[in-house]
Amino acid sequence: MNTALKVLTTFTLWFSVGYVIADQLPNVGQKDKKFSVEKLQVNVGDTVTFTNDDPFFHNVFSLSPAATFDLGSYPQGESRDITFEEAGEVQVECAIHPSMQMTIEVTE
Amino acid sequence: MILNRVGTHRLARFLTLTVLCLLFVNVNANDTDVDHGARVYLERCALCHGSKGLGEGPMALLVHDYPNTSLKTTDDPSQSIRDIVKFGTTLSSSNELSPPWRHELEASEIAAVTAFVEALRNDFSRAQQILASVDIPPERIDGRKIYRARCESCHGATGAGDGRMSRIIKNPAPSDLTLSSLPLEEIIAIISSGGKAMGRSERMPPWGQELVYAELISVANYLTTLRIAEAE
Ligand code: HEC
Ligand code: HEC
Ligand SMILES: [Cu+2]
Repeated sequence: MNTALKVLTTFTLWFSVGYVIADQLPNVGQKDKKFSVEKLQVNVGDTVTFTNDDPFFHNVFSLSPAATFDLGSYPQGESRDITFEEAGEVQVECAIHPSMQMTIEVTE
Repeated sequence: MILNRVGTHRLARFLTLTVLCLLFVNVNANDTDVDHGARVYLERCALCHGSKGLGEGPMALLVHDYPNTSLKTTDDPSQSIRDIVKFGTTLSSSNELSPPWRHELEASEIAAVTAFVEALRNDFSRAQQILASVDIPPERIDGRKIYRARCESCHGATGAGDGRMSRIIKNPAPSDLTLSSLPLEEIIAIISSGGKAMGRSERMPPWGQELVYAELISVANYLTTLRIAEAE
């Protein structure tokens, strides 16, 4: 009985934690003039957060056919969101630091 | 006493004139600054403001509802041009789209690009001559973005000739660039002079007035990467 309860609690916790993690918005940091990941895979309709962890501005944008956006310039500690509506490969760049590049694969 | 005051006024006027003359001489002596600034401009600012300063950068052309980024204006700017370049967004909360450059460019580069933006405002045709003579390696320019902004509507995302406008442009339709075998010099010639000047369809526009030379070269180089044979 006691063991059964423990197992149940553990499972419930495990599943809810798993659920929360899965439900969390993917976050891409900008640190040392680099994106924290080079590649990311998301589904159509997912929102990705871009957080600036550098003590200077970044300006995240993409001109890819699957997603064309400019998140503007924002300082350390701030972040901007973008929701992907179309499947395809999205090349994400920074308008201030041309060497910053990453790819987001948006799948159905 | 009165004479003295008149004397002071004369002196003040003389000094003001001298300072103005010096400023003027200084503006002319800044030609190298403006040249350097034009180069910084093409590498850092043309993405949004366009390679001619007319606001036709790929960002401005492609992002929905982007503000007008033309720098050809005689309106008084909200702040000194130098401060806008240095601090960008941080100056006003209303527009986040203008990046600050103070951590990214050297003080000399900020001074030079400021001088160039001022040249665009004060003497647009001279600024265009300077832009045209900037010696910038085509590798420093992203031909892919130029293609997206200027060519994709007809030639399509992959170059297959199936862009949005191919529905209304027929006989001939926009070329399938993946199958093109045109040598590089002829690609550059048709992009620069347009179809008509080359005895081909006038529906292929001339881009020589729209793009600077390094952009023509980099978009031409990009076209060769779209070729199927090349990719194999
Ligand atoms: C990521 C895009 C982007 C880049 C790159 C960029 N700008 Fe801008 N800039 C803007 C936007 C957007 C505005 C605001 C336009 C508006 O709202 O009127 C602006 C405004 C300005 C203004 C004010 C114009 C006026 O008349 O008030 C100046 C000057 C300027 N930028 C210079 C520069 C210079 C110099 C560079 C390169 C070192 C540069 N910009 C790079 C997007 C950009
Ligand atoms: C308004 C539609 C349109 C746009 C925009 C356009 N083109 Fe074209 N292009 C055409 C058409 C139509 C042809 C076919 C001309 C012919 O065969 O007579 C063509 C032909 C060409 C060719 C010749 C290919 C070959 O193998 O013969 C090249 C190269 C080319 N275009 C490059 C470009 C580039 C680069 C851009 C952007 C800077 C561009 N085009 C933008 C319509 C367009
Ligand atoms: Cu950056």
